[in-house]
Amino acid sequence: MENLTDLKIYGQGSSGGGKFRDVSIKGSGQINGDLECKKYEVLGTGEIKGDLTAEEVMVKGQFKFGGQINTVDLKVYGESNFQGDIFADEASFQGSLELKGDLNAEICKIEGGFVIDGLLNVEIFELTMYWPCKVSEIGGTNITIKKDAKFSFLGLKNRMTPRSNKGFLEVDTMEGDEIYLEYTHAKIVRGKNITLGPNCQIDRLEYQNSFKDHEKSNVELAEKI
Amino acid sequence: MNQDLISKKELLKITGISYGQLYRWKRKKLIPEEWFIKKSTFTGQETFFPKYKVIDRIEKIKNMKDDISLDSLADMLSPDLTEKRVTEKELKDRNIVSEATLEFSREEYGETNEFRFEQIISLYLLDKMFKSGKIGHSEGKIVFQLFSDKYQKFKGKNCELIFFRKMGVSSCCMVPDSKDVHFEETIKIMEIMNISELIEELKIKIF
Repeated sequence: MENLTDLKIYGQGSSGGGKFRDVSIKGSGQINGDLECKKYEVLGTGEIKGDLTAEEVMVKGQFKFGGQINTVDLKVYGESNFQGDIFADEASFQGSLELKGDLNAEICKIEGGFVIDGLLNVEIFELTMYWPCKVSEIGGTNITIKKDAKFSFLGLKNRMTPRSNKGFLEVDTMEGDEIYLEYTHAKIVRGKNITLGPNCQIDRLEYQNSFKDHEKSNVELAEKI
Repeated sequence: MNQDLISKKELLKITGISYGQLYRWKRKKLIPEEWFIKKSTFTGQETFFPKYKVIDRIEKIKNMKDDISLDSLADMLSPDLTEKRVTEKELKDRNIVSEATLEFSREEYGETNEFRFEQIISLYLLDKMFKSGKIGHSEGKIVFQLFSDKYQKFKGKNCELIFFRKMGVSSCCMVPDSKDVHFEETIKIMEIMNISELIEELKIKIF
């Protein structure tokens, strides 16, 4: 194993990137190239212009990722913007997420809202929606879409984030095995077992085994294949 | 592009896999990104696949997934070059490269004890082409030279090698997809070798 050093940016600073053991940014930091490290931690704000490869990535605050992310464990609390693709084993987001590329993960939990231009490819996907969300395509095994949690952190989050009943997930195509949906507007939903909750608007739904409709949802065309 | 395409829905029906599996394999890069072809149809956007390639690949994955993990399967199927090194003796004993081609390599590389994976591909490629009888010894050198110089540029991507003759003069080129290349009539294409497929074959033989 090479002898790698840590990179620390406390206050304000920048780095050209490179290979490190642990990288931590507290305050405001900018990385101008590709970065490879074991642990990547941000408290505050910052930007990385290149690709990031790390075992563990944790961001609390606001961060912009300019390149591709390869990691085992990705945790983001706050506001994040990704220009490239994300590859992670586990990914969890709380807050708002903006992503231009694809999100690939085994397990992905999102609380908050997102706009994803690419494909969301996740084995187990759980979304708890606080704001309107938008994505072009979702594919995976277990897909669960819910609108805000009943009690989270003593209900504080619900009080802080304005509850708007207009919030829903907008998606073109969704394909999976086990699907549960609430407040979702989709053009096509395909799956083995599909269960609908309230307030879904689906143009076309194709299922293999079972399909449970909800009285408050509207499906234009449901077909067993 | 006049290859046969198959829609995602049909593919799942024929192969009996689920959406979850298909997406998992895509995520693990067992099915290359380029095979997912988006087209608009009357029901909106649909994904299509090159029919024979994808069915063949899925059968392969289905057969092997019980024996080895998806990650090592991905290593085997992806055209990334592995770190593995193999000795000359092993290549010969395992029938990967014939003695004649090894002799050719001795002239080019000099005496080598261990071959890098990239060198093995070039030898394996040459071996196949020599065996098919379509190219001669001296022509092997052109192919070899091209491959050693330019394969780096295709690293991790699909790559095909076209060997052709015009009026008795031979030449070769490397392209991402041979279907998109068109030649004038007097050029005779002797051989098209798909490098990604070769690598797959080779990885199965080596591991």
